[in-house]
Amino acid sequence: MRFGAAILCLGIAGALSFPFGEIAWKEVRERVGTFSPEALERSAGTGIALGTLGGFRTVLADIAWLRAFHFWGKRDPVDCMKYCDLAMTLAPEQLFFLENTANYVAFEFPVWEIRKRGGFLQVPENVQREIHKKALAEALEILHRASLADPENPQIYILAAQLTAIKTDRIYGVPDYAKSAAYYRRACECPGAPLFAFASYARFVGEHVPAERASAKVFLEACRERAETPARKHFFSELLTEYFASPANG
Amino acid sequence: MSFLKKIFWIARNTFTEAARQKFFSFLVLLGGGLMCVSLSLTHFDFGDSELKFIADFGFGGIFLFGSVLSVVTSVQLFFTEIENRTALTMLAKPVRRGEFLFGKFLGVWLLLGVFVVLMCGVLAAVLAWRAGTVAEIAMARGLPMPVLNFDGIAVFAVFQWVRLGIVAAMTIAVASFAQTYLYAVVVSFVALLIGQLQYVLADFASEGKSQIWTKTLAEAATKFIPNLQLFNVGEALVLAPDGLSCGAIWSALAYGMIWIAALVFIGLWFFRSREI
Repeated sequence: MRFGAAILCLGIAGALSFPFGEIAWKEVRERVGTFSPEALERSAGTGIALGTLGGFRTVLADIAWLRAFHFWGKRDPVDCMKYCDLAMTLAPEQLFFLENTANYVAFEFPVWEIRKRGGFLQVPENVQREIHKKALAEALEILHRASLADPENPQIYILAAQLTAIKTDRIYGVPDYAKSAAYYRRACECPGAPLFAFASYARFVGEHVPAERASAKVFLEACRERAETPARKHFFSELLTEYFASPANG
Repeated sequence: MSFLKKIFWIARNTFTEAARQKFFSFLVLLGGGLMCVSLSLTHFDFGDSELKFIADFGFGGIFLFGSVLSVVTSVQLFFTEIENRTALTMLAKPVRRGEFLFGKFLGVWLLLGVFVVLMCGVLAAVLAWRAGTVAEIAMARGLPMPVLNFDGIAVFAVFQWVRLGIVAAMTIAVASFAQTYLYAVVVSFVALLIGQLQYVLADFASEGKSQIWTKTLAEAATKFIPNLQLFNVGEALVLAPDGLSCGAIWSALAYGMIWIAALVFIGLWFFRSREI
C-alpha cells in the first residue's frame, strides 16, 4: 500500500515534470553525447556507467584512449579496438579518437593480421588484398556510424575520402577516385567545409572522374555564386579554370 | 508560522552538525585539490582544449563528490538521530514527523549548496587563471580566443545544487523506510545511477527497432525516474559561446523542483508510519 502510493507519487511527478523536461532536454540532449543502445553493446558497460557520472566522461575517454594506445603498442587489435570504441562512445564529439581509430583499423590492423599469418612474403597477394579491403570497409563503417550521429560534420567525410584515396591508390593499384570524390562532394555540401575539400573534390573529378565533371562544374559554379568574399569567389574561379577549363567570367 | 520556525531550527542544526563533520571538509579538499591537480595533467588530454579538460575535471568532481556527500550525509544524519534516540526525544516534543524530515532535508540541501559554491569558486579561479595564459598564446598565434562564461558558472552552480537536491531527496525517501544504514546507501547510489542513465532508457523507448511492448514498458519506466543528465550541461553553460536558452534553464530548474518536492513527499509518507 505504502509502496503503491509512492509509485503513484513518482508517476504524478513524472507526468507533471515531463513538459518542462522536454523543453530543456531538446537543447541538452545533443550536448550530452550519443550513447545509443548499439554503442552500449559495443563498449564495455562499466565504462559507460562510470562515464555518465558527470564531467568525468571526457576525462575517462582520454584514459580509455591511453589504454587503447597501450594495446596498439602490443599489436593487439581486439583490445585496442575495444578501448578505441569506448573512447569514441564516451566522447563522440572528439574527432581525434574517430580519426585515429579509423586510421588504426584501415592501416595498422591489416598489417598486423598479415604479419600474424606469416608475413608479407608468405601470405598470397590476393589474400592480402582481401584483408586490406575488409579493413577499409570496417574503417568506413566506423566513419559512417559517426556521420549518422553528426551528419553535417565535413571532417568525417574528408577522413573517409582520404582513407579511400590512400588505400585504393597504394594497396590495390585500382584507385576508386569516384568514391573519394563522392566523399569530398559530401564534405563540401556541409556547412563550414574547409576550402581544401573543394580543391580536392575539383582535382579528383577534374583529373580522374570524367563522368562527374558536368555535375562538379555546376556545383563549383554555384559555390562561386554563393561565396561571400571576393577572395573565395577568386578561389572557386581558379578551381574552375584549372580543372574544368572554364574562364572566370562570373 | 511556528511550524516554519521548527523546520528552520531543525535545518539549522542539521546544517551545523553536517558542516562540522570531517567528511565534509575532506570532500571539499579532495574536490578542490582535484581541480588544482588537473592543471598538471593537461598533457594527458587528446584533442580537446585545455580549458575544457580542466573544466571536465571540475564538473566531474562537483557531481561525483557532491553525490557522495549528498547520499552519505543524508543517510548518516538521519540514522544517527534514530540510533542515538534523539529523534524520539525531538518527536516527543511538539515536532511533527513531517517537520523533522523536511528540516533534515533542508539542512542537507543547504550544506550541498555551500559545497557547490565552494567547488564552483575554485573551478572559476582555476579556469580564470588558465584562460589568461591561453588567451595570450592564442593572441600571439592568431588563433580564436577561448570562450569562458563566468555567468555560466553561476548558472551551472544552481543546476548542480538542484541536481544534488534531487539526490538528497531521493536518499531521504529511501532512508525513511530503510532499516539499515548500508541498505539506504546502496539503494540510493543505485537510484542515482539509474537517474543518470534514464535517458538511455528513453532513447531505447524511442528507437524504431525495439518491439512495441518493450518500447511501451521502457517509455512508462522513464516517467517514474528523474533524468539527472538534464543538469549535465557544464560545458554548454561555461565553455560554449551560445550556451542554453533561458527557457531551457528555467524548464530544467522547474523539472528539478517538481522531482525534489515529490521525493520529499514520498519520504514524509514513509516516515509517517515508521517505527522509531
